[in-house]
Amino acid sequence: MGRYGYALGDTMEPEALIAKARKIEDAGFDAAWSNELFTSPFVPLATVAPHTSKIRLGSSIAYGFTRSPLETVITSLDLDAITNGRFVLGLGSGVRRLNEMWHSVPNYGRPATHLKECVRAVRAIIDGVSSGEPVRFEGEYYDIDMRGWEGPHTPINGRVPIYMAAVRDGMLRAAGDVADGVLGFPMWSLPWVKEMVIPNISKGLSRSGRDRKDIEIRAAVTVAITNDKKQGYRDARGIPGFYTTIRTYQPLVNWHGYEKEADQIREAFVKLQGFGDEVLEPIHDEMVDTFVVVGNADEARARVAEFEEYCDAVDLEVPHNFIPDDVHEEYERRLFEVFAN
Amino acid sequence: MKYYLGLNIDADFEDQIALAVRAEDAGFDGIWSTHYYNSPFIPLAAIARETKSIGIGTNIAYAFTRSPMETALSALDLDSLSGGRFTLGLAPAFRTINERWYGVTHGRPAPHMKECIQLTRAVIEEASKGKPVRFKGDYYDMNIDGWHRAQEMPRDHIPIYVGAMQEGMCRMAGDVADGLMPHSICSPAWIKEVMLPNVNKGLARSGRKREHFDFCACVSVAITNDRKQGIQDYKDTIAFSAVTRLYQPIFEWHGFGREAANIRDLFLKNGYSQEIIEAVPDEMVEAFAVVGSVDEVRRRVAEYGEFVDSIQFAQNSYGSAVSKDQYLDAVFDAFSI
Repeated sequence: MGRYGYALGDTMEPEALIAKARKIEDAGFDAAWSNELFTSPFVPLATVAPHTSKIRLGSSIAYGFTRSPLETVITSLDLDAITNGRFVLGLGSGVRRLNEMWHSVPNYGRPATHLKECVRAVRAIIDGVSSGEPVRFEGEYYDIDMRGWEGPHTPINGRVPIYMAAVRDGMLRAAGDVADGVLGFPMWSLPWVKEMVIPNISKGLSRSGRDRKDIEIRAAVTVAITNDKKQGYRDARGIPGFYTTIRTYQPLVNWHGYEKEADQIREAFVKLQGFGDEVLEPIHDEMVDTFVVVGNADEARARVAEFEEYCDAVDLEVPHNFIPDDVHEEYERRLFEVFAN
Repeated sequence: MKYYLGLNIDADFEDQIALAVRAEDAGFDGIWSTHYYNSPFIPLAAIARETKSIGIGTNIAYAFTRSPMETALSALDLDSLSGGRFTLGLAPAFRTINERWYGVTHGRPAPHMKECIQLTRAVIEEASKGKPVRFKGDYYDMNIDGWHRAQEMPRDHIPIYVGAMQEGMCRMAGDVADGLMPHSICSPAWIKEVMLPNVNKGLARSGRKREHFDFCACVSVAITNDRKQGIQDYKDTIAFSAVTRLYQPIFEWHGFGREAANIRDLFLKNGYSQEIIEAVPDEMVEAFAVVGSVDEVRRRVAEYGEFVDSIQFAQNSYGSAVSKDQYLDAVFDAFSI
């Protein structure tokens, strides 16, 4: 069986959080992820760490530019210690508006260059902790000059793996340049993986003198397991629906040939000042099918396996936007039943 | 008076969690993390789940090394995970640490802190409920709209404290903070004559009441019948503070300007050494630490209660592991409920 990951979800109730982490671990998955939007990407990982023993615990993702590299380092080293070496630092750029308006980030700049430099700065500081040497890092975005700081603990396995979230060519190449892994995006379709993800990561790897085995590529696939395909398509519309309203992902949606649908979706979104049935209306079954795996257990297994031909692991998701909680939970129950190792 | 304890910063996480549980069982009111070797938030994220009633907080988290929204997210998470037991302590840290190590703007620390606290609070209390937050100041330019906190929040207000020593920061704390945590070299005299008048000025000019403000003294205690040894065991802690340039005016105010300057010179020449510890005279320890028998320490701690609201027992950080454990045990023996 394959290597699968799953999100810890949005609960901040400690027992529910720990129960979710254990469920992911007991299913034989290899990773549980926390994200950053409503919550800190790091805090919940420390809560579940003492109550799990095998799964990797990681941020998917933490924004890269909203805290200083050293702040990211001390947080990562603590998580590395409390998980006994199971922590994965997943960083993403986040979109410009979020950085500038919510987090008052003064120098968003060019996200791929910035995030690549961020990864290098974080790694330089962690290496400095291990060697005890002063850290001097000068780049376009960071100027760090550390003397006299001694780290609390060196990484358990000699290194904290740093993954990058990437959607488009520039960030994919940047990840190929410097990252230990790439975290997929729910709108990575299979054609996008074949024609954009793999070629661009490979370009980054080869121009930096690295091999395919130096990087773990994790796809992110939403799976709706159902015998009622029509209903499945309907329930999963929120996945392309949500991301199509975000300007940053317009080129990806257009690349798949859904320019007309995207225009209608955005028009409705602007009109309603938010989401509603009208926003999801233009999303037809074929569009859902491009971005989401919908079908019975065998079909789901077969289509996830197609991603595994190109990617090393798959982070699984189930439909969650704009559907009732019990419907979401039923999809989650079926997913764990089918994909548990 | 409330009693708080600091986490054992050089211990591993199992020991940190164990100390928090022990402090809770002993009836202490709070357990505080620090920001230097450790993240201020990560140890508390584990402790929140493993304790039930004790307050948890940061004393302190650097304020400028992450965005106010990042700070607010960690605070909201820790308050949710602990069922409303979290206190966010923020301090500016030193200019060198901010600018060179963290690569962030230090600026004028008190005005910077004031903006930082107001924005962090605005995210916690307003943006979390879907209200827009717009702010353009000297240090931040924010416009949060269309975000809310999806998780349940145990309460509307998370207390925000400031780590402060000097006049300006104390006035600012009086203006906007819920409490203040001084450094352990802030003696009773310094607290009474310098800090409190300025906190009161801030409270008065912003129309707030003293009883809603938690002034938490940080007190170095060494409970021992061997006074000479107790003083000796605290010398490295004092020496460590005396090498810091920013603390020189405080040592000077207490009449130890010459000694502190000498310690700093020795440090700049030879680094940490036995020499700087030996350069600390006994009277310098006695001015800043409470050393004595259990009765004597209890009496002197009670005197603090006449002018502060709570006490954090500072642990001697640099003595031998054995003496550190013994001193900590003695604090538990003397102050458990």
